[in-house]
Amino acid sequence: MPDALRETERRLERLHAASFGWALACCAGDEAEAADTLHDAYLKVLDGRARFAGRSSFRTFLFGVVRRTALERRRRRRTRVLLAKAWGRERATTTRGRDPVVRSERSRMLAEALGQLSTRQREVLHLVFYEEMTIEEASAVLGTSLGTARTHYERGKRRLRRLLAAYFADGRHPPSQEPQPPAPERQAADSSHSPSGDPERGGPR
Amino acid sequence: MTAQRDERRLRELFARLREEDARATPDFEPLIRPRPNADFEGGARILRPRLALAAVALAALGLGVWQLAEPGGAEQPEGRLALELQGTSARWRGPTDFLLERRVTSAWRGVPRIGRTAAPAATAGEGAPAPAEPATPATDTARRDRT
Repeated sequence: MPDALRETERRLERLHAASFGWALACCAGDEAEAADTLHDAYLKVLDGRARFAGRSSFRTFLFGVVRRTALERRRRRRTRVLLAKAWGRERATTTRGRDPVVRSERSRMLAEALGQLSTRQREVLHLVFYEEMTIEEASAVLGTSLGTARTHYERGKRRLRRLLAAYFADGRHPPSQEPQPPAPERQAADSSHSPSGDPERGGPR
Repeated sequence: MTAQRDERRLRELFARLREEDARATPDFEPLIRPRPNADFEGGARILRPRLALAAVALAALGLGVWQLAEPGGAEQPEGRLALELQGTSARWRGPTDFLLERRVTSAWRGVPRIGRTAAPAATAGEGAPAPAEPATPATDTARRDRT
């Protein structure tokens, strides 16, 4: 295997957990769809269909690829469903249902509030708060100007604060409902992909 | 002050969400290996839209060419011409005459010009519709006109 390819694989692995979080956000929290999107995006990067030109950081480039891949998959799925309906082949559509990640009450509350924002606002807030990117990096991922990204960020934050007003007002914590404990083997595998140990993660704003 | 506190809480919420998502992160290795597409069940796969569009365009082109091409149109047999001239008059319009009213009439040379061919022989300068003539003289007239 050439060194360049091995180096790309290493970079992808270092960003794997962060990329999965971003893929989840692009796939509306569907875990299986996020994994498939990530798989497609990784293959695009590894076989050269998406080429890193070095104009931005590798993370920004990868997140852009993941986002585009998620959009393509959504569009393709919609077309397939329409064609299948038109041809009366209901079973030809994907048989897998939605597969959301198990989350605590508080995270569900946040996810629901995020779901009420516009797509752009949700994406910018996710990149800034969840991935700890700067607004400039977020604008590069989304392919918008810095001013547009900043506007979406400000409006989204204001709206999110309004949606979570009850939580912010009195610091009320919803009844504790922890997610199901993960499988031991998965926990072991995840410890190697901890987001905190990610050397390529940019600093917070 | 409140805004700062809200932002801090917002960051805490996102941090917690990140931790929970990290537990569901799939293994890296299988995601960089190609695998067969398992999105569809059954053997029948729907054609990709671009391919389907190209096939439709090709079919339309083929149909157009097939309709325009007249099999053996340039060489109409004399016998057929004579047969069609039977029982015609100068004012009679052949069923294929509408084809001659196109801009490019040279493309339709093969279409028998029944009305005009029959006119000189049938009317003989009188202008009135003449009775139908037997097949042989009319055929001879048509042949003479062409040569």
